[in-house]
Amino acid sequence: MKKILLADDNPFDLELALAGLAEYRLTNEVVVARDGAEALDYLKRRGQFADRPIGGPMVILLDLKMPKVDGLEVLRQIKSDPALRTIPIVVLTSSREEQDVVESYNLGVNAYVVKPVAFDKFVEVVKQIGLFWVLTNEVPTGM
Amino acid sequence: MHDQRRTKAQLYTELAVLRARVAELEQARVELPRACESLDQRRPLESSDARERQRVEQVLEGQRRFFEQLATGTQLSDLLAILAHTIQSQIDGGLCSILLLDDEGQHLHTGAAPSLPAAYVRVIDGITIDPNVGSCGAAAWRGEPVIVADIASDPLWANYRELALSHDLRACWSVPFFDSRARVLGILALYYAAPRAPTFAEIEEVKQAAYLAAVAVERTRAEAARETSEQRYRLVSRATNDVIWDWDMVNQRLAWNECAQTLFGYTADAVGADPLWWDEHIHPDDQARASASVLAVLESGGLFWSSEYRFRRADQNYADILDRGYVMRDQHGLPIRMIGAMQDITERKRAEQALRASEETARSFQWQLKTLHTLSSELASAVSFDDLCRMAVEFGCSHLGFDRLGLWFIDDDPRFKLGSFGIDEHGNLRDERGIRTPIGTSSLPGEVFFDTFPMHFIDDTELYNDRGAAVGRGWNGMAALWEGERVIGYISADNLIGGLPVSPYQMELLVLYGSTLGYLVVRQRAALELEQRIAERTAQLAAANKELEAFSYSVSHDLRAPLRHIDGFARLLAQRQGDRLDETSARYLRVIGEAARKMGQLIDDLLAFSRMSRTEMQSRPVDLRQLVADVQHDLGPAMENRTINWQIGRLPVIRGDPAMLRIVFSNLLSNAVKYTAPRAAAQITIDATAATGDEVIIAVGDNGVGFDMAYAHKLFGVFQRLHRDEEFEGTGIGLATVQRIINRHGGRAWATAALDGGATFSITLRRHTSEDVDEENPAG
Repeated sequence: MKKILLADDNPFDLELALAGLAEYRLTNEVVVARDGAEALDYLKRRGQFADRPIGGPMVILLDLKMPKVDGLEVLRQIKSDPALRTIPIVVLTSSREEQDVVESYNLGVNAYVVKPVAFDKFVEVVKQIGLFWVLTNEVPTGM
Repeated sequence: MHDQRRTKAQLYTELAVLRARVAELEQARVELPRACESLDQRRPLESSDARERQRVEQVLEGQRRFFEQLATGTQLSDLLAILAHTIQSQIDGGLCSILLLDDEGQHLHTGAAPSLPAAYVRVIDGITIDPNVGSCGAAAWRGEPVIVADIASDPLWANYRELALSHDLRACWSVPFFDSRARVLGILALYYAAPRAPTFAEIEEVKQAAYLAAVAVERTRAEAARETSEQRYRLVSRATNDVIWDWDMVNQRLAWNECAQTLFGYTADAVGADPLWWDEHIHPDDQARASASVLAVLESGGLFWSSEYRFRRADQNYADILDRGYVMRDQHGLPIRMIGAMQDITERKRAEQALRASEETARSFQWQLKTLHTLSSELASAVSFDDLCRMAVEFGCSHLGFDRLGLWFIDDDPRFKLGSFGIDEHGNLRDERGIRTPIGTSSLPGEVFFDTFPMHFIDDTELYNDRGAAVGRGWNGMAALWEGERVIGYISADNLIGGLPVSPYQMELLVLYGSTLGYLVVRQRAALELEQRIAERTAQLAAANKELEAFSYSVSHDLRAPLRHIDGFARLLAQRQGDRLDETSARYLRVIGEAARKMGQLIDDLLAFSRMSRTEMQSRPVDLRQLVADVQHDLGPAMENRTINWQIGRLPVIRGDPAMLRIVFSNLLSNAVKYTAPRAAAQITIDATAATGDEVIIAVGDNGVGFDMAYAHKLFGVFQRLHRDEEFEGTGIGLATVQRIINRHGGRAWATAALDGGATFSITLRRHTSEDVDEENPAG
């Protein structure tokens, strides 16, 4: 089964996201990258991920504000790489800034989600992502 | 050329002389046969007589002398005496008396009576003519010969018989002679000591002599008349300032009046009598023309001549002369004399020239003023101070006729001047901006700068280049550049390149140009300062904006994350403890979550509010009816289980930013819904009324809880609330956002209300008109 790549530098946000995903028992399928560089390493199978099995994630949940390589840069590199650009990407961020939204869509993001303050809503978002994951996961088998 | 002309002129006068001689000879040829005839008649009678031959020779000699004397202008009495002697030698024993009739034609006076007794002559002199008194008186009166053969018996002599006889005069033949108009001029009489009648030949001889007497009298009188007119002319010429000349072509003499000395400054000796003297003093450029014009008049038979030429004075300067002459001709039409007057018109010409020059100057100055006007509007378009200076120098030279121009400005340290642009000694534009030189207070620029000498003009002075090296001489003008009452620099002009003399208005033009440039420089500096200030402000604003953006980004991103964690982990804790939490602990966790969410909401609203002032605003037609419908739809959840009576009037299409206006109406309508919650039947009205011009007032009224108008001023402030949170939820940002958006649309926002009596919020917006040009993508 293909993985969910969760790229976020904030441990609390990671924990909350995983808690949300746990409700759908999807935790085992989540690969965590703590910054943009790690995310790219995973995707391009290098560094600590050099030995991982071949195959891209089913979906990428991408925070924008990360150390080393930020989310928009990761997004740019994925979308300019022919091998990776078909992977659906959901930006999951605290930023409501228009410039981030516009830039993300310009780079070809599939969805842009603002992390809500309220946990209930956060769970709701994760639920939607889970649903999205389930749906997209079934597409290849159906083909 | 000169010699040829001289020959021709001489030929002319010589020819005239010759023709006059020919005419005289012709007349003599006519007269000669008659004289011969009379001689021939007598020859047979006395041809053998040697005495007779001698007599004939005497007569011929007498007549020759008479003509000779006549030609040389001898006095009349002498001429008449010759005649008398001649006739006496012709007719033996005759005593000749020639009497002349006076101007009144009444009395006879003795012209010549060389052989008559003096006493008799004295008595006869002055006798009154009378048909019956004496032979002479009668002949004069009758106009025909009167022959008295015997005085003793003739009744004509009744009164004078005794006198005549006492002087032994016994016969008298009187023959009148006439002028060309057949008027009696006088009487030629022959007396005899014995009674005697003339022969036919004798009468003819007397008549001949009388005729000659007439010639003599007429010629002499004409001479006298001419003399009189010449005297008159001398008097006139002495009274005039004109130089009068009299050219006798027969004798090639040229006479000048005294004015030739006074007017031209020559001494009497220096004024030449040779006609060539005139030629030689005419300006070489005018000589040929003046001489040719004289010849043309002489040849064409004309009488009047005039010409303008320059005549050299004794001081070697030339006088402008208007010369007018009158040609006198003989009976054959040949020119023999010419009289003229030279008028000195130098002053008149100079005055005319000066007038023309000043008119020209005035025209030229007027034109230059127009040019200056055009230039100033051209210069006003200069994009920078340096551009202005460069253009000013270039235009001044190309359009205002200055050779070289330079612009200098006073430095911040007023002991120095700063260069800008100028024209170098080769006529090329020179960038002199780096040049900073001290100004001596005693130098000309120094006086222009510091003293009350805002302009300077020096003719014939040393001229310098911008490095202070002397490069020539010429005139130099300086005029101040003014900033109000203060001199800020000067413009300097000279004529180094072309060396042309200064035109009469050049200095005025320079002063005007200077003041124009001063004004333009000041204007340019002010514009520059303003531009700099605007640029600084813009940069400051941009920096502030950027900071604010960075700040709000970090607020948006970083402040919300901890809140999310507080709420999230409080919720996870509640889930994890579940039933193990007592009621109070569970409530604490709920409060923690609520507080976090509330703060999240505040942050979001605040960010939205600040975004309102920063984001670019669009101007498009917005259909308010549609907008209100959309907002109503969005408010759906808030209106669940509510009874709300909406009354929406006719709403116009207005101009504005669709997204912002949506926030406005979202706020106003949600407020109306929120604050009518206590009402069992909520009433919400939306109306539009026209105000002045394109302005419309949109009013949103409700029958809600309202507010106390005493707090109305707080209504639109950020975080200002008139209700407690427990009553009505809110962050206090909504109306502040509304006001900010409406202000950015150029409108106003206000509210009227009564505590518990409903509230009406009004805003003004601009109606969309057909004249408005839509931006792209007009669809809101």
